[in-house]
Amino acid sequence: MSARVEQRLREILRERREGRHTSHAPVPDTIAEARRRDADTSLRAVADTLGGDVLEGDGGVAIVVERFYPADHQHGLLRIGDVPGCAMATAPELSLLGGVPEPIDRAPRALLFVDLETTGLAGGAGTYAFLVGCAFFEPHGFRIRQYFLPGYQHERRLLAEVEALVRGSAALVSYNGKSFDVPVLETRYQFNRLAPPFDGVSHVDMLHPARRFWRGVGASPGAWPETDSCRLSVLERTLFGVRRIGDVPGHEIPGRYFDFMRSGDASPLEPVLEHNRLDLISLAALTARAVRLLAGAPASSTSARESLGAGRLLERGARLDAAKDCYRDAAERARYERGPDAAWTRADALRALAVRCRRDGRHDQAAEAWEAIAVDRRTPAGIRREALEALAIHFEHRARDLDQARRFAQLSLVERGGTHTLEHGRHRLARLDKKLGRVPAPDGTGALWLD
Amino acid sequence: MPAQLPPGDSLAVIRKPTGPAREQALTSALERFGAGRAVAPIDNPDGWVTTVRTVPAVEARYAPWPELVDPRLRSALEARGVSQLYTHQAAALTHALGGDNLVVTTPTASGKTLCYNAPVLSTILSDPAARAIYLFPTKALAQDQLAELHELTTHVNQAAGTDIGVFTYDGDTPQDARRAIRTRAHIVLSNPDMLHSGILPHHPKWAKLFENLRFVVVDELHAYRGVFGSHLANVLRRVQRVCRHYGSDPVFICSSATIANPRELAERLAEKTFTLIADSGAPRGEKLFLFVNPPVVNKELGIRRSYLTEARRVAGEFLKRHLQLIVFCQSRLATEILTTYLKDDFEGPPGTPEQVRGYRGGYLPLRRREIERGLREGQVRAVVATNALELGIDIGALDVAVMAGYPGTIASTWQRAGRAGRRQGRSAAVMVGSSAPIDQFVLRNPSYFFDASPEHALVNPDNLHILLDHLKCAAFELPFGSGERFGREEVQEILQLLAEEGFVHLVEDGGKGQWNWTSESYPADAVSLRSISSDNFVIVDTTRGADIIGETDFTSALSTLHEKAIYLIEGKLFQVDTIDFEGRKAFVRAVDCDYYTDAITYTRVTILDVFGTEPVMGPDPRGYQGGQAPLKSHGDVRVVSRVVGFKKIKFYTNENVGSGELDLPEQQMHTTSYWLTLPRQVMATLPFSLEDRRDGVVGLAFAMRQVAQLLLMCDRQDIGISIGAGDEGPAVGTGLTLQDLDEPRVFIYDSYPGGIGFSEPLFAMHDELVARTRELIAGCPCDHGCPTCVGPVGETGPEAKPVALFILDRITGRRAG
Repeated sequence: MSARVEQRLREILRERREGRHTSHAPVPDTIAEARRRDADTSLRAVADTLGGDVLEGDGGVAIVVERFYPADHQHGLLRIGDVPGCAMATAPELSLLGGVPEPIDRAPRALLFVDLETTGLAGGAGTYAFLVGCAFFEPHGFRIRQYFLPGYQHERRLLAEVEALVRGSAALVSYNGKSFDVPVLETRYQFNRLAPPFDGVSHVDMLHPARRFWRGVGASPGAWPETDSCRLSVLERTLFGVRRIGDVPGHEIPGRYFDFMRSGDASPLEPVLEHNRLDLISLAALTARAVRLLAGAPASSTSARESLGAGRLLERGARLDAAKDCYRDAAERARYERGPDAAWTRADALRALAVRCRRDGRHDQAAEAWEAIAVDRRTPAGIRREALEALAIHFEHRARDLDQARRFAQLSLVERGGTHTLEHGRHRLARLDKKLGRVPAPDGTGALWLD
Repeated sequence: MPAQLPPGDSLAVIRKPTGPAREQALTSALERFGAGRAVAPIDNPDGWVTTVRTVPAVEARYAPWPELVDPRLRSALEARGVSQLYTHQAAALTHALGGDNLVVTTPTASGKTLCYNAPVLSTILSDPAARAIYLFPTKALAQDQLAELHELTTHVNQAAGTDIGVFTYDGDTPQDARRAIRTRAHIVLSNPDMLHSGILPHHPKWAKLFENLRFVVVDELHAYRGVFGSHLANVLRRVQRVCRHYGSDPVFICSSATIANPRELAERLAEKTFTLIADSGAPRGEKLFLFVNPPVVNKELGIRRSYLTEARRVAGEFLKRHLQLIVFCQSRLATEILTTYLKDDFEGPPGTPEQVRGYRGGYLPLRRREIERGLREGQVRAVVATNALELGIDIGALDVAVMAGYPGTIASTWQRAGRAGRRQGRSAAVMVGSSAPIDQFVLRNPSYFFDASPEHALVNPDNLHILLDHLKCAAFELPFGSGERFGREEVQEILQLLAEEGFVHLVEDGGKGQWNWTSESYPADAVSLRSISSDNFVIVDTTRGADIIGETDFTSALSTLHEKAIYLIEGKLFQVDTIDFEGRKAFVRAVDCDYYTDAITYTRVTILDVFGTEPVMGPDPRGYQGGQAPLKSHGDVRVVSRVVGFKKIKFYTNENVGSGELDLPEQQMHTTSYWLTLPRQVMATLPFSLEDRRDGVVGLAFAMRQVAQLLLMCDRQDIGISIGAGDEGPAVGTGLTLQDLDEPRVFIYDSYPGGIGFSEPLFAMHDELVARTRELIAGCPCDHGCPTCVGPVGETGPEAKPVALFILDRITGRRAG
């Protein structure tokens, strides 16, 4: 506690003891009335500063700021008109992104892109969403509608507006919204003893597919991809060439809102609203990019990771042939990519392909994929051992080539691994030796060096 | 006859005696203590057994089921063998269902939990939307209650076809289970810390619970005193604010050990009116209560034989006769030592079941459950425990409770003694005193324990520092209105202060004002309910690498983590190598030594504000004619302290075996204090040298501190003492000066910024404080003072004892001035 607070507490204590502490009586009506008038005019001033309108109704006042981005608007290298906006809502690939197999509501309603600006990241009753950015495509462009909270006492109005928009949309699209934006909004509804409108509304959180496709994109060459390098601002720069000028750093945002609450001056918040709008456009562009990628994969892919990610999502959506094509494409692309990630991507893709083929009963194709893993010198050890074991099993039980099986079983033993798998491998080797009529080496591995 | 068994005989083959055999075994063990004579209630301060008291048996009293009780609950309870209610249970049900807030203080094993479980379950059966929160001071207690309650609700659910959910919600609850608990739990078992930092700040997620909250149960209410209680009071203010937001007004049911002021404590904590249910209808067998004082082995230094050795002997007499017992120790270290002793004496050959077990905080839950079960089922014959087993954990009824060391408070002593005792048949409780002053005081004044009222539990919910912290949390949870109070507390000017610091901002809306939370922080994270400040030092063990083994709050870090200090954790000794003030780290190394360190702290108290001052006079006020009478006062003070060095003290014997100097920064604190002023006239006319007078005052303060701790029912670190003139004196670090002794004041201050409410009660209890202090010193058999009365001779000088007594006689009017 600061010395100043300490000092003030002592003063308060003394005042209390001497019975002369001043309570803050409610403000007399006339003053309150005047203040209310002032407040009305200041709300209008706030709306003007932010370029929006005042919405009045039950539960307070919200300020709505609306912007329309026509088809020829440029977002970095991207033209809004080139984003398949409205078509996206009905694209079957969308449900793949959400990880939900069921198709998303096909009624002629728009996707609602949502992004919040809040008074903090901690969550809980004292974290407010002071700006709810909403956006959707219209036939000739992209419309952003931002609801701004001019004071906590007006929250119910804002929530009612957001609820209407959510209920009228086909699905929500967010960036990390499943973990942050929606829980924060849910808390706000519950705080006001209202039912949150999100039950039964589909929600595509683009953070997860974005991690699949683009994690590590934009990181400096050779650097191991950081987990947080999937920030929207990083992706928009690499994918769409967007360069923000004078953007507000995220950590400054709550402070600017608190300053506004104290001073009534909304002008420092204008860049915050712009920041939110750019986030929404990038989110929409990113979603469109992902939908297009999935629709045309592997032809539409530009990297091994994209192909691998697309393969995974397609497989989950039971589009198995397309998935296998994507895995093959990913494995092939990864051969020519650099970076520490490439070896993993290739091994992961081949492994996914092998597992898929095995499930489809295509054991020969599965074996091919395992072999490709086993012979690639860049393959990480753990996956190689798995591949060698799979091959040993394949040759023992499917291809019935015991010599081959034995060779792979032996090779799998020299790969590093836990003792459990080592036991397994020795067991297999001993069994194969028995089948082959050989005398097993005393420790199982010794025979390896004789070959 | 069990008494004729050869010593060292293994217990493994012997069945536990029952019925008359058990009675006989108990009698025979008790006779051993009485040296062959029948144990008689004679107080004999110099004997080995100093006191014997009999607590008579009590017959059961029953009452009919109140009509309001849901018949399905009644039949479920009847099916479990609860065919009749004790009078106190029926009264609790009637009151709680009638909407009265209750505090129940019936003894251990009187069926206290039914007093809250029954009204809660009955209410949920009639209204399935109803919800309840149970608060326990520890997670272990909540777990224990969960097991019991779960069994009961399973019965009720099966019989009534209901789906009453009971869950614990605490720091151990997995993240993925939390959402389900929020929606499904009718009864949430938690602790104040979790309520404070995990539930209240997220109250919208708990909307369903708060909308329908009908009961708040606070178990072990007496645990909430001092700092912890003051925090809880503020947490409960927050609960009630949130409830108002959601339109509920829960009934509070508290259960407490016997303290002097259970109803007052409940009313202070919840700020509601409470009904007290103290008259137990449960039957109780006869109980013998013995005090044992280990003999003096060194009269000069006032050293007695180790109380642990004595406790081992006492426990052995019972164990030999196959009685089941619990031994309570004051520390984890002592627990481990005694467990080892008793295992050495009585454990069977390796491989046989363990019959002697230790039990303390730090054991894993699974092991604890196993020991508890072993006690209930009888395979475990003796458990050596810390206070971890004092609270309501179900271990069944044992034959004997042995306390190694006085538990510190009357309330907790009775609570521990209650661990032994059956509804029928005799049981025994034995308290083996250590040489600590409080122990010796109680041993010499058994009526203090048996006949006087137990301690008052004191809290100060309006401590501005604590209030400020919780006001932040409350403002985060819900905006304050202008004119809104916090509990009964007027807080607008503190909100103004928070506004100046940027935490809140006042807005006007339709003539009403509202303080909005304007900070990114999550204030509950910065407030710990159990420690003095959230500014902590971590303790890093560098013996092997760098493991963090503990933490200590800032204020005690200076006196416990200075360089060369011995730091104890779980019985292991560590020496502090370096302390990093900036980084708030202390680097320690495991060592093997036979001493611990005690910091020498110089303090200077400056009086800032006097709240009350009165002359104190004994029976002969004429003694002060023409001069000034001694004064008792209380008020606001500034305490400046500095750790200037440390002493090395040998374990068990408490010998001073060395010392060191330290150069540490000064600490400042504003707090409240009680003080006794010894007027110039009294001091000047003492027939002793200046040196001896100084020793006398120091010794007096030493003894007063012990008694104050006893009277306040507080921990040692809760209060501090200082001697001085009370004005701005020389720099701290010089010890007592002549000027200080001219008209000295003995300060007993609250060791917590802003005070925790000890000073005013101490002011009111002044007469008792002085009288008890005199009893403590006069009753001590040592010649020149010892650690049991005025402090060790090496520190206070040879005349400390007589001078302190002389002063006390003066100020009580026993001796004319």
